[in-house]
Amino acid sequence: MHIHEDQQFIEALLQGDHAGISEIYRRFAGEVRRFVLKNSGSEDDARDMMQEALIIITRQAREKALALSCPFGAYLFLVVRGKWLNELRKRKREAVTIVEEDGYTYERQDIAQADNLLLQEEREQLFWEKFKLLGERCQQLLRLSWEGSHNMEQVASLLGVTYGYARKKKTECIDRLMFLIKTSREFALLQSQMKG
Amino acid sequence: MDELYDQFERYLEQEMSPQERHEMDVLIKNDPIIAEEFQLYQQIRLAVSRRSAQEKADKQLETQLQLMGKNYFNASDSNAGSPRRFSLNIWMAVAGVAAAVVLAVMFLIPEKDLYKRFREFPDAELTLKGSETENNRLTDAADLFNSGKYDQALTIFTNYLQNDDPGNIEVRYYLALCQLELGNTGYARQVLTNFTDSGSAFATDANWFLALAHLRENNINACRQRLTQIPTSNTYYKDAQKLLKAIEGK
Repeated sequence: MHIHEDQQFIEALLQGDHAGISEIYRRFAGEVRRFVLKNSGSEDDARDMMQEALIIITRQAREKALALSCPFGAYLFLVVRGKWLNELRKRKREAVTIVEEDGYTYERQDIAQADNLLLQEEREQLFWEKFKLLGERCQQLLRLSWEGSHNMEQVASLLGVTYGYARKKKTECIDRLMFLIKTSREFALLQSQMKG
Repeated sequence: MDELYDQFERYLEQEMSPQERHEMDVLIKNDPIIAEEFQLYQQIRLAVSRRSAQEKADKQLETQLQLMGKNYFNASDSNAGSPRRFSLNIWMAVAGVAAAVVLAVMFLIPEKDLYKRFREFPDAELTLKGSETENNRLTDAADLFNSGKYDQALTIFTNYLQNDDPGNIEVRYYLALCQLELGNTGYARQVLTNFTDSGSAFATDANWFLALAHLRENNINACRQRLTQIPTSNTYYKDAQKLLKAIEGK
């Protein structure tokens, strides 16, 4: 696949390069603002959408080695558009009509990539938010167990508890996390979007 | 289902015997429901471990973008970008209609609905340091709290504080959340205020729940004031910002 020259913006985000990120804002913030304001949003909404879209793109680049096949602005705009649509739906505006006026032409694969990215991001965000609702000790135990390469004996030792207690506690924490996720309304909605 | 997650975990942690592993492989291969559950479980595990590992980097980027965004977007101006091509009289008429709509919305979306939208309690996890009977009581109360049975949890918490350990700050904190949810907001505020002044681990979270208590009481100014005291590093910061927006103009 041909990698677009705008890949430099992805690199700037990954490196936290101040000049590169400034350039992203200088070139694309106006466009994002116009779109959000034209579609029932405020200046604050536009700023949030820009910020959230950049974070999503950075995460994707970090975790899945995102390689741009289209201009950065076009991709950013697809993500902003999708995020804003979701936001409008959340705010319960029944009939969501988007005024399209971005001037980009998209390849089908770019649209599919952005849609897929957003759906995954929403799911992961939900999983993470529910994880953060667990008690401090559950979070610590699962982080040690899942994030690092610690086995349960090591986890128990690090937490200063017996192996049996750590094992039992971990099961309780996982059950609780799964319960929080699976009983949430957002999860049901995302599942139906995935299957639809 | 709970036992299934335990098996998934043991499978992924390579803690199963070869025989158990083989049985699990067969189960996942032949049962589409189990296969779907396994896939979801793996996705959750992966997402949490990734977010956890990248939490610091995400926070740094977010701070950097927040600062930069301020240079390229104007401060709060919900009317920015609207074309100004009507005469003043038409604008006054529009403003009149807008005011009516705002008033209507204020009645249609009362604070109790906003409270429900934003209220999400953390799990109660209590340090068990008493006798076995006391510990069992606390575990029961935590389970009741975590399953949303706040009135029953409140009874146990209250008894515990009266009879066993009046100074237990964890129990006092979750008792305040029960009171908040059950609508005894005055009592909840009294307890939570002690936390904000104490410098304890619950101090900043308490501000968020105090804001919710004020919201339930329709005291929007007090709610707003509490929300602005929640630092960016706090778990509830984003929710606080969203709630600030939701009560804007009230």
